[in-house]
Amino acid sequence: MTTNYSTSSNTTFLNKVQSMINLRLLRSSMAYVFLIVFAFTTIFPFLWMISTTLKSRGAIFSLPPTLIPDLLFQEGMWDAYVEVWTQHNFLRYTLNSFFVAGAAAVGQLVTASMAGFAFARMKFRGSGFFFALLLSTTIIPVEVVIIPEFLLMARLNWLDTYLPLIVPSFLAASFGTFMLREFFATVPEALVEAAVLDGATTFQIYKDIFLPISIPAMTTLFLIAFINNWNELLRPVLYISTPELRTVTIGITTFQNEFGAQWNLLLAAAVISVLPLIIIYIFAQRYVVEGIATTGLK
Amino acid sequence: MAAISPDVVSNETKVKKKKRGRIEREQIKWGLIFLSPWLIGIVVFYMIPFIASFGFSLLEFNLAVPEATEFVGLANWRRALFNDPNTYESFGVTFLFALISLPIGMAFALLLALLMNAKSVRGKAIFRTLFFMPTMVPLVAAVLIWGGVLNEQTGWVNLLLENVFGIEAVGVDGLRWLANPSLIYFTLTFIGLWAVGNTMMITLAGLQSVPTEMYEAAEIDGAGYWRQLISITIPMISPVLFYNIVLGAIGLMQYFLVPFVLNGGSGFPEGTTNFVGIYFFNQAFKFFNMGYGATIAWLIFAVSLLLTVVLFGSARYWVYYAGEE
Repeated sequence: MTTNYSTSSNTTFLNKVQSMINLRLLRSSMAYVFLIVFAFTTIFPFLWMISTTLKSRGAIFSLPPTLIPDLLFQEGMWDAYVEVWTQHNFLRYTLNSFFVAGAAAVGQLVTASMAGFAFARMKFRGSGFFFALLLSTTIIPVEVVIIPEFLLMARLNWLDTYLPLIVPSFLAASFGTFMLREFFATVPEALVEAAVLDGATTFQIYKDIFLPISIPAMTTLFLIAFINNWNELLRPVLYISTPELRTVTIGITTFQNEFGAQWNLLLAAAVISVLPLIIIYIFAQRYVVEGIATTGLK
Repeated sequence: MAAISPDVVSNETKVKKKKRGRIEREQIKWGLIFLSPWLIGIVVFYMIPFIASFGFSLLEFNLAVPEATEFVGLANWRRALFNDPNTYESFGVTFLFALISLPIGMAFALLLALLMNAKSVRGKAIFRTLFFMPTMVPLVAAVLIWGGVLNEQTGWVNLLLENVFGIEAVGVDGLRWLANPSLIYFTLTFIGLWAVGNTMMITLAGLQSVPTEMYEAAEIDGAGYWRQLISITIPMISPVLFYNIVLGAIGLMQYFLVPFVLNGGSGFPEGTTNFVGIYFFNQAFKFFNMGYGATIAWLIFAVSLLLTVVLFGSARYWVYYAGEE
């Protein structure tokens, strides 16, 4: 009897283990199926985009559709790119975007590192009020400020120049200020005290201690600011009317309105707009992702 | 002697006071110097426009006829709140879309973050890199690409559904992702999901900061995966989820660029994409109604603020902050 009992208990135990393993297997294979489907959905638009740019006009809508482009390794493979670069001025648009996004990002570094330093390490009357001001700007929607900004730019005669695309982003760097303030606050007080004993001025402490020590954080801020300004669409739409001054994003929008059906050209322009950011992402992924994960903002 | 000493004392305190005053003034001076570029930016591009915008909302002010500008008091506000059905519609459309898009987006971000944090999943670094990559794509390009992939006639999605799964998807009677009013919000949500990597990363950072001892203790107590998820993981990362929801809700109130790139702000199909951000843009920069546009903008701000307050009020009931009882 006792032996019988123990055997049956053993089988139920084994069954239990068996079903647990099955459940775990089922669960993890479901997870993989989901991940692979989602990964495929994520990557497919990229593949489709690149593939279409390497197709001849006649092959874009061929049935059944194919992902392997007909011009692959053939003569004229890069025709779509050459055409948008040269005939549709995207070389100029790309340079414009580099200039605008680069200038705005450098400006944000200057503004945000100075203000971040003041907020993190300087005690003065009114700093609490200014900090509240900093936080309050994050809940003001762009819609509220854009009409007066537009009229101001018109009054300054800055319409149809690069300035409205650079100056507001350059100066009103609240996100960067907040981010660098958080970083500066972690710099050990002993470093500052030692410098003060050596007779360093406030400006020297900022320049010789805080700036060098925060190169990783500054890199992150530069990249995020660059990406955001590269992607900016509202301001170029409002402020730029001369074709030569267009950035890539507005270049694509206008191109789409004029040449809507020419997908190989349109997507070649899209690739041009994506490529610099993907390159940044591949080579500086750590900085970009860290910045977003730690500050939670883009 | 007795006559001199108080004098000396008061002189000393005067010197001290003067000295303290000088140090303080010095501190304020340096503080303001370091703040000044940012402060100028904030005042010129945020504070003054913020107030000016409210001022404009009290004006009848059309940029096409600036000489006809006049003070009309609260007329714009009365129009927006009581007499303009478009305002209600655009807010309604925005809320409806938010109610569909926000839960789906948050659920996906959480699910992906959980998988990216799971011990049993291999190749996480590759998946993570992949899922984050689309957030690098400029919105204009993203909308363009999805417009092509979801095209009702030639898009791969419909061709796949029709030819592989046998669903009638291609053509005017099929799945018109961008033209069918009852599909459009899911399409837009889907386009938004392509950039879910951002929220996923923030959620993942939250998951990684949950102390592992808690799971070990739960394991010993015999708690299974779901039990741990509901009793440990979700409460522990609730501040992160809360943060994502607040940012998502505020962002959706300003939802503008995707529909703008998609259809130029025409509201197609059947006005379903007339979000309040689009309505604002059309009033201000298509019809140049700066006064009425500013009113809509301030309404967007007021509603966002109200939403934030309500969300923060709700936080008390479901957001767990460590160290608080």
